[in-house]
Amino acid sequence: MMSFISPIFLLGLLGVSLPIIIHMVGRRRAPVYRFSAIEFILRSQKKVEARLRLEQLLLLLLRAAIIALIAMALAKPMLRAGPVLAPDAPSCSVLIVDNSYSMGYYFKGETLLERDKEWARQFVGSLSPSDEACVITVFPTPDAAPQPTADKDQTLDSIARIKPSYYTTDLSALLKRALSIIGFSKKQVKRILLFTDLTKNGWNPDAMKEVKKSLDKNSVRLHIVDVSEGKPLSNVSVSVLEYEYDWTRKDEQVLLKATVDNFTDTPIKDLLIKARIGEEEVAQGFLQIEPWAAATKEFLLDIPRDNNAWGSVEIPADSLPVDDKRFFTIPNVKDIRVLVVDGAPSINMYQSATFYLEKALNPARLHTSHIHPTVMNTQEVQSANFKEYDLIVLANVEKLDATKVSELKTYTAEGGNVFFCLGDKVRPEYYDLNFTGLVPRLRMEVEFPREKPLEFGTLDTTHTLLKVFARERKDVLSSPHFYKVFLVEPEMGGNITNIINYSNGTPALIEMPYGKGRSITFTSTINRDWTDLPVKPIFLPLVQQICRYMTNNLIESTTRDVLVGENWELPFYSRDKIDKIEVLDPKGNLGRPVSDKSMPAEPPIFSDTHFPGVYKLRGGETAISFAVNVDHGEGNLSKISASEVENLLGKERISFRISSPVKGAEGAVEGKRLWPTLLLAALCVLCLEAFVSWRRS
Amino acid sequence: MKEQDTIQWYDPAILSKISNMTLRARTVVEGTFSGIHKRPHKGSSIEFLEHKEYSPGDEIKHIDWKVLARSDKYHLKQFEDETNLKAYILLDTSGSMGYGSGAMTKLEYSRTLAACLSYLLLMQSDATGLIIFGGDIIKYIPPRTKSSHLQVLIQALEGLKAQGKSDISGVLEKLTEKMSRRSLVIIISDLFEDAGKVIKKLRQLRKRRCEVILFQVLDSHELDFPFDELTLFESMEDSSQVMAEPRAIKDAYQAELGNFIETLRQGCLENQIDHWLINTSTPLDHALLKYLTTRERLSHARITARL
Repeated sequence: MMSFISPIFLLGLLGVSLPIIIHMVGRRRAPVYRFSAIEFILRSQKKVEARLRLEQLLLLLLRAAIIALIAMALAKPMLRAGPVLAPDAPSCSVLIVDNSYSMGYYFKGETLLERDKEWARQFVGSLSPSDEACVITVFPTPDAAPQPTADKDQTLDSIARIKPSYYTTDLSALLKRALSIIGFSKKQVKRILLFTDLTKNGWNPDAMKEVKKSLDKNSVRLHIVDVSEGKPLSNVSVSVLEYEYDWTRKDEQVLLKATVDNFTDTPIKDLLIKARIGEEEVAQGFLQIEPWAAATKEFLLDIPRDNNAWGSVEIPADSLPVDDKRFFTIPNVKDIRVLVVDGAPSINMYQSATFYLEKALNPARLHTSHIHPTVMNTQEVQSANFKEYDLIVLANVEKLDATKVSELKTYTAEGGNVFFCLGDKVRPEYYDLNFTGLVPRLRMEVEFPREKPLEFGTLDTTHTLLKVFARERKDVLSSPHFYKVFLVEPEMGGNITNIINYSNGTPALIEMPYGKGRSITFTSTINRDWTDLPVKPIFLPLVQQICRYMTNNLIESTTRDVLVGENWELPFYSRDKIDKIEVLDPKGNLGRPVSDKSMPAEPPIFSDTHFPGVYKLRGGETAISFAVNVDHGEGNLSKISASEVENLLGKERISFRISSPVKGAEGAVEGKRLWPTLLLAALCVLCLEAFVSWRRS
Repeated sequence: MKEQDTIQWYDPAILSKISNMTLRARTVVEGTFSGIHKRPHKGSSIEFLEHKEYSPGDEIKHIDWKVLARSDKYHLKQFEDETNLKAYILLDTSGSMGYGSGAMTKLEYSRTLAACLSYLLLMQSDATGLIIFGGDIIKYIPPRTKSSHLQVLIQALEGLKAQGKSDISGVLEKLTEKMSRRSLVIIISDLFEDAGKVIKKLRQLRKRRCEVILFQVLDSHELDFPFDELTLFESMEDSSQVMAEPRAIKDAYQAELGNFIETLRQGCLENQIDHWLINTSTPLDHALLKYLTTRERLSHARITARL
């Protein structure tokens, strides 16, 4: 869209008619001359008449064009999406002060954020009383958007209160927020000033399409201020920490892999890298890293068996110290005592109901596993004290003594866990009568031909118990065959969850809460009587996961980075205990995890992860800690070029500065100036006119 | 007529130069008065030319008896008779002749030229007549040899006004029958007419064995067309007008005029007519002198060739 700074000069366009008027007047005022050889004039006039008319018309057009072009040039046209306004027009400005952690970069003796704030202050200082402004940052992001105000002091105070954050830049989100704020403004000039280091991170091309549309729609101009003055920034960061941990064993050694990125143009030699457990330095090494490459250092660490082991890996501080250190935590491994009641013991141990189960719970020797199974038959269990165990497994148990049934119910109601595995000894009427509430109502056994057995249906790997299988191949998960299963009555209401179904939709693994505890029922056998599951690869991890899930001891085999600002899901929870749990952040602040009551299946989350470091849970049954780290993507300080930004947002609505902006100065560059082009065009037309005139004469 | 009025027609400075020249007609014409023009008939002349052997039929009175006494042979004396010429000066006074960009209009220039020629011819005892015409014959003064006839001619030339449309071809057609054979016809005009028609009529004159001299008098502005700004050109002979940009049409105009003059020149050349283009910016004496010199040179050449 073309606009004019001095539209009054457009009146000059009326001058287009001047050549025509001059032509007409000239004809009227032409001198009369009595001449003798008029016959020759007439004849020559006829000869050149057509050419003369064409030339006259051409000259007329050229002269009109010269006047039009000069008039247009004087009106100072600009190509832009909105009207060109005088520099002192009332304006509304939204200042985006990038306080992402990359702005903690030390540049010319101060951090980029300090420069950000200073330049933002200078801009606010240049505003006139009728101008409005407000400030937004990467973090914090208050629910209520700030409103532009003409109160300079308030805006300056907002700038002064900006602190460095550990968040990464999401410019599209920031720009959308700024646009939503400025969209309501009635001021003539609307501008967004983005004070940033102009690093590539944060410029999401897909999200920017929407921003571009919004800029055009709201006639907003975006001024991008590169506080690093367009200079390249270099950085070295600890980008990834991984550990390898065999969760079937209770070994104390952990292989920790630390990856360091060199975001510079020069190779790095002998970079010192240190690993700490807690505050104690336990290992160190050196890295050689090529420019724009990464190198990994492996540490074999002896992790103490006590709870809440945590540590960090760090390199010497550079211009951006935030990402020179990264934290990790090693999950606490707790001993789990399991009572396995074998309802169908056999002389042939392979045929007993619990042989495979015991092996799966304790695959290695007893002293190397943290799961301690105790196998008893129905007679032996009479003397057992359920409360000494974290989990009771009833495998194909026909019946228990009434006192034991009562004890079992009490045990479960008080927070215990029972895992029922069915089989040919199980009588539905007995179970329905004695284990009401612990086991779903059993209907009958159903047998399936060998050639057409049941399989597991599609596993819901979003369930906490099944998350570890998310990366397993589908055929591995569905490989077990089931030849006989129990059908159960569908339960209406309650908190019954079918964790796994068979391929025909029949429930396979059913979870039921009972008092403070819970039970899980497996509707087939846990030995090979009705299924080949025990000899399939999925058996061991599935049994281990059921065990840990039920005893709230789920652990992961590797680290999962919780980044600053991300939610952390509690790996276990008891709904009645959740209110007592608190989270202590690295700065000593206490927070609470929250649970979405509308979605009871979803675990509670903790979202106040605003700082990197180790967060510790308090008040739970198990001491748990987790590490929060900065997003290493922000550590890559490669700059996005002006042309790339223009490709994303269009040339018309953006401008770049590498110096402190002041109002007016930034207004002068709004839009593309067309008048130099018009003047040049006028000059060209003038030359053409002179040439045609010269040819005529 | 006042003395100074007469002087303006034949300025002594001009006439002194011209009087040293001899105007000789290209063609020998018959005349009743002796003059410096040669007469084709031999015998009754006062200037001896040659001897011719007698042959039967010759007049005996021309026998040179002295030669007979000396050589006993009959020879006849032959004489070259001086005879006068009948000259007609035709002066165009049409409207276009009134144009003049300098001190003199074409008509003023032309009548001065006519006066000079009249004076010369009468000085040579040639009978000189004057025909003033425009669209038609305006005045006809028959040829006379008396020196006092000059005053008659001068009087006729005075007070002329350029007006009306010219019709040279029409006038020539009327005059062709009136004019004596072998006379000298001098036409002074800008000849702004159809060149073809004019040539055709001149050819008829030539058929009557008339010597024709054509003085085409043009103004320097007519030749150069030095105008610049947009101008409404008005005809001097009728009411026609034309708005023109002189700079734009100058080339075309000069081409047209050049073609016209060239057509005339070519026509004259083919019919043995002397065509002289005179620019009114040229001093009259120079133009006249140039013409007379050329005429004399041509005349001598012809006599030499005949001898």
